[in-house]
Amino acid sequence: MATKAPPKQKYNTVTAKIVGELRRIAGERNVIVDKDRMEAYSHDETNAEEYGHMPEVVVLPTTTEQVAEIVKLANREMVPITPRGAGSGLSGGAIPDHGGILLTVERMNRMVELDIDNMVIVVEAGMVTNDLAQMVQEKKLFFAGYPMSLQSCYIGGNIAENAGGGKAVKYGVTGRYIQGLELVTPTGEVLWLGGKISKDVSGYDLKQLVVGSEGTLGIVTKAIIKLIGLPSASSDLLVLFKTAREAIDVVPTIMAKGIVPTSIEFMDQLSVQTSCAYLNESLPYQEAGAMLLLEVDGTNADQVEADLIAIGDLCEQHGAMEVYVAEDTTTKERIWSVRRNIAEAFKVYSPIQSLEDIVVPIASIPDVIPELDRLSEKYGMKIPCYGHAGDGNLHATLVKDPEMDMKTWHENEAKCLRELYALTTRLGGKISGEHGIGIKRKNYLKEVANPIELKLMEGIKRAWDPNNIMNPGKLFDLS
Amino acid sequence: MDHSGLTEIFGDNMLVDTKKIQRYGVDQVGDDHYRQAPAAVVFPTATTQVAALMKWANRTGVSVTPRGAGSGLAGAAIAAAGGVICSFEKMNRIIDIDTENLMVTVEPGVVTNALDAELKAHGLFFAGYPMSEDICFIGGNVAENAGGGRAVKYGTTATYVLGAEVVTPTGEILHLGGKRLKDVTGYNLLQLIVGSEGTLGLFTQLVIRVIPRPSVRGVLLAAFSNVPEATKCIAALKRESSEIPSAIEFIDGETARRTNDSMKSADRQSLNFETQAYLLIEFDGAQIAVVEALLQGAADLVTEHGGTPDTMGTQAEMMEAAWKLRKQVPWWVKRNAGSYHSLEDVVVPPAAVPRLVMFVDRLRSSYQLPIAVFGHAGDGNFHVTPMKAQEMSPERWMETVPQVLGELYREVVHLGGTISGEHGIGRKRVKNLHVALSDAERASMIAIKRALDPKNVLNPGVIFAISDVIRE
Repeated sequence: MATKAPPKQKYNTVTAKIVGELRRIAGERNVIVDKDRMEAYSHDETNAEEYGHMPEVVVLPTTTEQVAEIVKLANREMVPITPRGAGSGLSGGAIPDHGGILLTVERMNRMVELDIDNMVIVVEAGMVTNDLAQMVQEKKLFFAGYPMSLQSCYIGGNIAENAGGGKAVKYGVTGRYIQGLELVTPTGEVLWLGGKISKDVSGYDLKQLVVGSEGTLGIVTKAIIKLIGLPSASSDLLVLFKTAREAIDVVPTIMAKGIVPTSIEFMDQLSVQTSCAYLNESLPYQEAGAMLLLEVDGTNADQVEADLIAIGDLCEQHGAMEVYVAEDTTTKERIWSVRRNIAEAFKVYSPIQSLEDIVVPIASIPDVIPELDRLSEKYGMKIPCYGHAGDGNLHATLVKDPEMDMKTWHENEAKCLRELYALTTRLGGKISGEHGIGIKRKNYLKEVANPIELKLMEGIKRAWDPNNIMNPGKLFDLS
Repeated sequence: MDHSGLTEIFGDNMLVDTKKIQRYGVDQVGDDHYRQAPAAVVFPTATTQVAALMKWANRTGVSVTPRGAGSGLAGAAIAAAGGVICSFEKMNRIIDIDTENLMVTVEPGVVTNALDAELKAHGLFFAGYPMSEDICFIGGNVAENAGGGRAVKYGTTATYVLGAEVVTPTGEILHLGGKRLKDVTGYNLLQLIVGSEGTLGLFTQLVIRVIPRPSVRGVLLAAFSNVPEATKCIAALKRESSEIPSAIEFIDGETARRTNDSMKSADRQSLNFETQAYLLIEFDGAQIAVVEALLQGAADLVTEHGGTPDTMGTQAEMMEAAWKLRKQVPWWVKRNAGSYHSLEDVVVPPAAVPRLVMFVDRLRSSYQLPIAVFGHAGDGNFHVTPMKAQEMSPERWMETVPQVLGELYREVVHLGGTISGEHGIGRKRVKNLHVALSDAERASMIAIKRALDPKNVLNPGVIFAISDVIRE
């Protein structure tokens, strides 16, 4: 078998001729070269100074055929292409860090079909996830696989990152709800993968390979999304514990009772105190070492209430200090705002942070907490830890001390992340549960991942993208 | 074949004796045409042996086919000519039941029911299993991404596979995924290998998510005097029940009666002659009152759609009898038609079920063949099973089958479905894959196969023809 030359890593620049071609393909008004207007496409929700990079041209296609033609052009001209959704990502996956063409799906935001009989919705990739959620809710249906940033994010981005969020413990992540995808491959072929069917073993499951591949294996242009019945009842509990250990120990006992809560959110002492102080919350939080926020939902109000009572009892048996029940919207809003405002509260203290999303086996969560205290001490930063306890996915967040100079922060951030990721790996976990590797974590991935596994991923990438033009430099740099 | 290399790895844990080896030359595909005795069968007891086997295969060019219980229905566990079977029957330990993380770690040779028995003692449940749970191995379920009767509520096997130890086609040992519900660190290689029918890797250990065991079940067996009414009722049950049924199974009237007649008299139900379709509807949950209310709601829907709720309840014996009727259908097919049948598992969007059933009616009359229709109606997955008519010659049958299947496959794809929902492509449907997949999609899959298995030594001839994978 002849060995192929390694893919070129040097790309051509976007010439006036290429811009002309893009205008011909996508239309005059759907191509941006103006620097000021392009700036918005040069960063995502990661630190722009650290990770941002300008594209050479931004193109806003309106059809799948245009996307395919643009990808073929990129291959022909050897310029890189970076697909982008709402830019709400947290690992730099949508940043054009090799320049080239930035392809945003924002003008492909139509609902193609709401098929009630098959309980699916077919949408274009640029649809705002929140719009989708509301659209189906009117029909008493539910898209369960969305992340916490649903106000702004696009469904295409959720798919590319395989987003998680707070409800994954019961409903799973985005990938579970993707029954079909229209994909423009890195060589510009249009594929329809899957369909309005929930079982399919006709060949490899390419859908689930594409889901979470961070735009490196092609551009998703449409998706068939599975819907479920909208739960009609839900209730929430806020429980204060003395220690993180006590809080976490209660989780498996709830599941063992046959109750699968919709969310089990965990907040450590630092998160609780900072957020409650920020909100002027009157809860007796000073004594609490940790809080759990639990939600139960279902279609039967009696069952939901019975589950809630059972959970409350279990928490009390496990040493809970206080159990607050929220059945009305006002109280629900109040207790959820403690969880939602953690990041905001820390921004008041210091806007420079590294928001992480490590994932460990649920039972190992208590082992993470003392290590964070140690790292916090060692590197002179605050590290609040909160997140999705039901699935072990924790937002341990490195927060810069306002007094620390930037140079020291960057050095310490890198060292601290390295230690955090090593700890995660040692506990049987992974460095990212929902935000992805992107640019931000690719060097760390190389350190913690099995080289053979990375080699297989690279092999697939090469097989599908021989010119390495599709979102290069994300996940890994091809060797 | 020189098997000194194999003896070095496996010692006595192998077979080359031609007689004993015969039973590894078939699976449950039915048609004898796929029979192919392997050159050797090896029985690994450790992952390192499997890795050594694949290194040997890459060195010698002899192909390897992984095999579980041999209960597959598409010939994926039958070796290519001259190949070696790697049977996982001796790697059958349940390594760990982790009640804190609600996950179990098992070897691939564990029989599905054996795992279930262990889990039962802990109040736990592995939801992603197929109907052949008394014989099939977990490893085979995972390799095929098996479906089964409860997928309508719980999803297929893949939903529950969180981690695996895998030996790659080139003999490397990988640990993919793990005891976590979320993981976005790179491509999802785990779910790519799950369902790849043993062509992209050999599973040597699996981490399976389990859930709290539903303590109550309730079953309703409903009879319909006309098929369209039954199929419309399926959609209503999914849309209007306040919980998703844990099963909605379909059996056509004739098949149900003939299966029933073939059973021991103690097991028989009293079935009505006017009935054209039966639906077995099941709910599960934690509270008997809730399950009973769901059953009553389903019974009302059945009546609204012109059907009759036959038997209904939460008593173990009654439920077992209803399920027995459904589970005996494929065995009746075998007894009735011998190897002259083709058990299919086409899948269509749920709303297209009435059109599929009408189409099968047309096939019956145009080919003058008995065609049993039964299966997992709730997710549009039907075991459409053509059988040889009594008076038809075997030769004529052999000519007719590919035509019938060809028409069936084209129609399900036309309806937005696909040719296999749970049994896989295996060897049986290699020539039909182009009906379901575009050339570009097939090429994308073959590119992955080549990238992971450059010498095409792992289960060649399954899913894709050898000539399509090997480059000139």
